[in-house]
Amino acid sequence: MREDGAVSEPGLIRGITRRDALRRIAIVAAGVPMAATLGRVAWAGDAPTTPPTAKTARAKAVIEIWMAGGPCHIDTFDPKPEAGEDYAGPLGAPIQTNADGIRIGSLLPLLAKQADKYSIIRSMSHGNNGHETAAYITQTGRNPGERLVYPGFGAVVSLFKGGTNAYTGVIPPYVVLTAPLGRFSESGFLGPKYAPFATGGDPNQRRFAVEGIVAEGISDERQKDRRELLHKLDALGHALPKSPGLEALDRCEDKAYDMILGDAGRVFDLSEEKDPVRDSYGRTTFGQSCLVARRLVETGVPYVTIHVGGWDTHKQHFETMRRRLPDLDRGVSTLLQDLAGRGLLDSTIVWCGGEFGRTPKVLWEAPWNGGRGHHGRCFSTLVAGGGFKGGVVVGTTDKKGEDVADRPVHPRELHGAMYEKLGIDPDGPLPNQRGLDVTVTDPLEGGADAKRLPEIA
Amino acid sequence: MRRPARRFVLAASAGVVVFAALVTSSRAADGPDDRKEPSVGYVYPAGGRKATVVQVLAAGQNLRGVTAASVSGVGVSAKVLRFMRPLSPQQLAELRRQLAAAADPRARDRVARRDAKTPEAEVIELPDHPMLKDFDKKSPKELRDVAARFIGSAARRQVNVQIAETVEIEVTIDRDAAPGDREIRLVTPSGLTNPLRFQVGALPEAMDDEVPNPATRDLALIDLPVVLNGQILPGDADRFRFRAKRGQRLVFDASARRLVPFLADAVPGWFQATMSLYDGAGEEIAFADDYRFDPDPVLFVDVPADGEYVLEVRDALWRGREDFVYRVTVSDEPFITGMFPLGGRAGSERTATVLGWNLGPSSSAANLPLDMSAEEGAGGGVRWAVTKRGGVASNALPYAVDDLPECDESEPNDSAATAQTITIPGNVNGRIGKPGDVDWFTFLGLGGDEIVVDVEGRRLQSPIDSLVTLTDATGKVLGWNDDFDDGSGGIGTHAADSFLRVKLPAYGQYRLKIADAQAHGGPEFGYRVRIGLPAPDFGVFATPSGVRVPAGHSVPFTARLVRTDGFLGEVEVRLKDAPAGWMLSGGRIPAGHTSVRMTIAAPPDAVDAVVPLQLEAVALIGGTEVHRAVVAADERMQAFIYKHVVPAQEFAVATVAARRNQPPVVIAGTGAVRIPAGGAATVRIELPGRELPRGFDVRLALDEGPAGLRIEGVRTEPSAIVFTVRADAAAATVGTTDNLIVEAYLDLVGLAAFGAPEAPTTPGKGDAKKPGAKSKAPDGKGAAKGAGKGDGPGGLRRLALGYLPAIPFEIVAK
Repeated sequence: MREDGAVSEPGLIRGITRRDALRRIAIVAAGVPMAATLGRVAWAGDAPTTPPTAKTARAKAVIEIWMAGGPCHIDTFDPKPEAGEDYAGPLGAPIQTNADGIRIGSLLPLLAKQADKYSIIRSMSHGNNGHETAAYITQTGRNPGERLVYPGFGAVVSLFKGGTNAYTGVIPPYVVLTAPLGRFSESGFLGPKYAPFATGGDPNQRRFAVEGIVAEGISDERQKDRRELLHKLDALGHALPKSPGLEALDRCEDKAYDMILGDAGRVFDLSEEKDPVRDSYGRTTFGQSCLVARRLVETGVPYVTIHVGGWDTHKQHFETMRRRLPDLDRGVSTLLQDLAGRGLLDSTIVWCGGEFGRTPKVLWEAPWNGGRGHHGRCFSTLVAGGGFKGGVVVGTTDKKGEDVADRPVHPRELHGAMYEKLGIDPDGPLPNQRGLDVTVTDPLEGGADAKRLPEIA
Repeated sequence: MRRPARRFVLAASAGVVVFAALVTSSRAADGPDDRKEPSVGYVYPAGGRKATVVQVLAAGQNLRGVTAASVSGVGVSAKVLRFMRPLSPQQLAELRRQLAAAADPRARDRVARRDAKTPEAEVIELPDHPMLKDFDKKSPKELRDVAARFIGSAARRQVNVQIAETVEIEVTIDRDAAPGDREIRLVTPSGLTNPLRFQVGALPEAMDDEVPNPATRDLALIDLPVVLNGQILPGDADRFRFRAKRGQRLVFDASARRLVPFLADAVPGWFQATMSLYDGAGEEIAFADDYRFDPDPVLFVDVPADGEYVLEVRDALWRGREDFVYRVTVSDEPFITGMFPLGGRAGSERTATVLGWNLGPSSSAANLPLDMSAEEGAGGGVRWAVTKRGGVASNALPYAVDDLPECDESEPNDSAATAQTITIPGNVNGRIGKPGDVDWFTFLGLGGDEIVVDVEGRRLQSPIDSLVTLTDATGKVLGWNDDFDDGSGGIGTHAADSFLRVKLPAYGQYRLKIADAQAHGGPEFGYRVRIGLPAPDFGVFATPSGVRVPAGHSVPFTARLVRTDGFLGEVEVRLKDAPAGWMLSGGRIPAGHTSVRMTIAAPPDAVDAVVPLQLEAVALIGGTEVHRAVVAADERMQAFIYKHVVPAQEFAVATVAARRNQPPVVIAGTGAVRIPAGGAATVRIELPGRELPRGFDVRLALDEGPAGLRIEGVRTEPSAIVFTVRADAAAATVGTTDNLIVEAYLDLVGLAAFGAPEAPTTPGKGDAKKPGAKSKAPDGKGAAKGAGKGDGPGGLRRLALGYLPAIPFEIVAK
């Protein structure tokens, strides 16, 4: 027995208490990932599931690369070498991409060769410098302070695309690799049913342990044994007469085990990919997450978020950029190339950015010693696939990258344009179980006739 | 008579400071990259008793080569003993092993056996420091001190570069040094650090023992009165044990934020100290987090019984770091909690009633005559009141001195109907005497007059959060205000005082209502309200409060102007009573501007010293020349985002002697350079006494240049540099007036072409030998200003030569 009361019987239950083990089996059986299914069957008065009138839909899926913490726009997609070293810092001169007239940060040479595939919105702006609020605005397209807590873009897409619509797969329709975003509620008032499924684990490990589906060190045989053990212990289930609720739980359990032991769960098994492919994505958590995202989209999962954090570089900014940007570069450029190569880029939107940018003027003084603060006045987001044009820059910022010079883009405009590509009417009603009369996204300032991202739509 | 300035109150305690120059013993070495500004994060202990010598540890960054420590005021001197870099991770691990060995014989044996097997090359050497050797001879307390000093919060893997380097300082406090807050700074080759508070007191001092989680019985018994010094690391709670007698009225006055007002990388953006007092049975009998609006707590305890008590100090959120330094004064000395009135008219006689603890026979109230003298030099618009009991002085509270007629509030005036009649212009002293109290005043106003209602409460440390409403006789609201930030700086984060500026529509009666916005009230909730025509005025801050100026060189600083009551005019900043040879260039702050960079130049024969400089600001207001002392200040950041201008006690300049005494650089011509929009203007810099070699490739860069301006066409003559400033027609605005701050530098690639050896790795040293370099920089020390801005986009390395004097300019129509 370990100090914390944990059992250390090798091979069966490693480093968790007995209670924990039973709890975990029970959770798997109940199918936490299947909470959506459970909810849908149990509740009456379901939300309307027929999507509103769709415009020409090209995209079927979205991969969101969420650079949590707020990456610096100047060091990535909106370089300002002319502003001098107090702004550009020591990272070196930006590089020309293969798209005419577009240059990006010096630490993104691979993405520079893929610029025909993506466009850059350099004039994203919401003006907020707080992580939580800015993340809320960027993910929901709404301004904070209202009575309602709106759902994020991913939750809404999964509402329309998952479940009873086009997607009927076993893997949940909204997956995040690998931890929930944390700074805000992804599902808002839509409720936990539309929260993303966080895989946990690390796709760069030998075995990608996905929460509830793939357990570290547990073989399929043992999984089956556990299921049998659970059934034996289910005294309540045996004692009570059959009821719709219990039957629903049973169906959940079946689906859950389908995922664990059946084919669906194999999407997470990266040993199915050849080494050169895995290498090209980069043997890092982020790189391999990009590969998992491609696989998920291939099986039809409509929304995948790759949560890559660590961009909140108040201190050690340039050291962190030197470490993280090459990783980002390799993962995203390979993802775009791979999707394109498999004919998936046209039907998959890829958007990449964070909740804000970072202060263009480098903070050389103590305690930052070469850091950058938060900057919500202008920042960059990369958009690719799904029918969006590539090789275009939308909007500009001023010479120092401090303010939008031309064509400010609020996150709601980006969401609206992506909804349209997905065949979701952004001005149509957002179905919900609370009887709220809300639209999918807020209208633009220009009103009903305003076009969303016409430059790249 | 011009109303004396009163807004720019230093957050320090009373006491005018006269600065003593401190001469360093060694010449400053050539400095590193000019971006590596030296700074200090804390000093510990942050104070000491008169007639003692205190060993103080200062911590900061970029302090290598520190030559001196300077302390403001008279009677306190400091000597730098030693500089230490932070220990490397390997050294930290080795230290931990050795400390463990010292504490535990078995561990010692293990270490000895391991050392015997370790090859020479792998033995980790600890730095040469008395605290880092002979562990087996050290007492347990000494071993704890070593751990606290060198491991500290690094034990929890928090490495804070900005407080990782340490400097040991010996501070000598004279017997007759005046008690109060001083400022201490470090002098390094690359500059003067920011100032930090150092408190001089009259009471015995004690330091926390740094024992982690001691049992109460193991705490040393401390005699009162005392000043406790401590440092809170993560999760730390310092405890102090003392004996007290029933009936003693103890005041525990903590200084935490007062020592380090703002932390840029913490939320809350300061050490939020709390104090708890426990009785002999371990019961908590008192607790304080804040003292009203001040995050530094004060505990007031009527000791219930004879016995032992324990005081516990920690952070409200259990945070900690080496810069969470505090001092707590524990005594039954007088402590003022409130005063009424909060000021009076210059030249009048005024006695205030002060409230507080231990004030005298009645203990909680006393009379205090206020110095209202109108003489020159009797102090500015705000003075400090201190009460004494038996020769012991209390804390100081501010009060205002003005030249308008005054009256005091007279209750009842709680409604519009019972409003107190007052005449304007004038000051009224009032009080929100209990929660929900409201004060009404009525006055006769002239139609067309624009009047100002200026409530002073929080700025005089009253807890009131004023809310002011102005109505006409019918009750129609003409204006109201809750909070107004007048820009007077300081470390307060709630600008709670109110300000209104309203045009009166007609001749008639008007009513003013004053309340507390939070519906609080009590005898301490005093205020003063000035009602009358606007009295335009101003104040100027100079940031940073410490600059390093090589002899004969110019260095920029920023003058920040605060305009009050609608003052829009021009202000000129000048040196006041400066020794010969000092020059201030670009001192004009044009109408409408609030911030201008200007330069100060040291005489060519300046020696290595820290010199206090006085600056004053002069403006013409209503035909009268108005002089205001410029307040030195530093811009500090709070919690990642908020910026504050924090006043310092003086403008300290560290001068560095030149190897050759050369006349100062002169901007040819008088008046502002007139640059046509879309055109260019020529500027000529005379370099008397120098001879530049042919083809000397000096470069010039506009430092934080205004929009649309750039420098081009730099050429040299034997004793001059001539350049052109071009104003881009689209980006430059006609009418812009400001100063050009120009930095001269050498392109080291060019220097190599000129015949210099390899670009020096220690900038400046290789440089000083080249004849060419000497011309612009009188000594290699010009290079000490800073070299190697790092690899710019083209991979160039720059050797900074220094700044030119500020060049006033105006953009004119072509």
